[in-house]
Amino acid sequence: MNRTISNKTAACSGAIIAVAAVFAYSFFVMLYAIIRSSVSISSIMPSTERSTILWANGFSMAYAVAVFSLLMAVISSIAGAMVGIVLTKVLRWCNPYFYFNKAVLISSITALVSLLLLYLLLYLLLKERITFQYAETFLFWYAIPALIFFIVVVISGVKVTKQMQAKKI
Amino acid sequence: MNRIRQFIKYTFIFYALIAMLYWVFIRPAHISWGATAVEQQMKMPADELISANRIVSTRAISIDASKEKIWPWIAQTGQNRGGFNSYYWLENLFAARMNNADSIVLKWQSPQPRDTVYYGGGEGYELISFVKLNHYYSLGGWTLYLDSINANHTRLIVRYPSMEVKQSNFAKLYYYGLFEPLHFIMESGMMMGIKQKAEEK
Repeated sequence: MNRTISNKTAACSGAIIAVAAVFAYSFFVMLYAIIRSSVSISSIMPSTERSTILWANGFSMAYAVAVFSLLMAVISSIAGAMVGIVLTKVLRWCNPYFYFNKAVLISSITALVSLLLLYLLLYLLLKERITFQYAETFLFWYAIPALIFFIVVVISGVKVTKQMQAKKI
Repeated sequence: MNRIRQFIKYTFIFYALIAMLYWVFIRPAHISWGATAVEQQMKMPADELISANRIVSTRAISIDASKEKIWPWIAQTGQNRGGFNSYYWLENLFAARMNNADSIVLKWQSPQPRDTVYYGGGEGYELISFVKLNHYYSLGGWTLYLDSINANHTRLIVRYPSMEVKQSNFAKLYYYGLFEPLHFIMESGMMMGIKQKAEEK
């Protein structure tokens, strides 16, 4: 029986999970943007002229978010594949006896270090365009994606540990 | 992992459905949202700046206020002025550093041709090409035009020429995929924002 998870499997799983996470987040963003703008439209437009703009605004918003999330999914799948390989290797090296708590700790550290590196890369690419001036910017681009990333990596770490344990038995 | 794969598959199907509905029903409607056939055909001051490689939209909204009450909000348009009266929270997601003024600010009430107007924080700008008090305001080929119905009712007509898209596939992809729907959202938001402010005061 093959006791290890191959790099290819780890990369594919990481990429797929990253794409799913981006899509899940895109639904949240889509819903938030549609609801917030629709509330604003409803308070301004008379009821007779409201429905056209509500539909047009809602679908345009959904379409733009869908296109943007497809682009983000491509980029995130690369990051996901890399983190998948790193996480599997680190877990294999540092947690040979498959302890649950250790798996959580190692996955958390891997997630935090990866986040730090990703943000460093973003900072080098975008420099002063990165701004925490507005709550929206901070939450949308940094806080919520970081939280999702952290949770996904920790859950994946635990699952990978369980898989490796099962293969060893 | 199978559930995750299924989620991705259904998301693709959902997105494809949204794209289809957008292209069949929404885009044809939003390109001329609110504008009558006459308004779509009417000549605008900056039309001469619009080249053939651009997609032109003409949108309009009725405002229960006189031109004079609407104009001050238009005159102070710009990120480096009174904002765009649109969804600032959406603009700021893209680091536009936008603040919409809640009042009329005197120092921004005399826009002049060749004044610089920023779209976002420190980058992306356009020069005012044509301006006439209480009548029209053009940034490049983008025109905000006021047409009186009577003393208390005005039509705000907005004509926007896209970037040059017809000759480059990459530009088409960017424009149709992202820019056009987002621009419609922001422009209609701006028109409604101006309506709200002009009718309030």
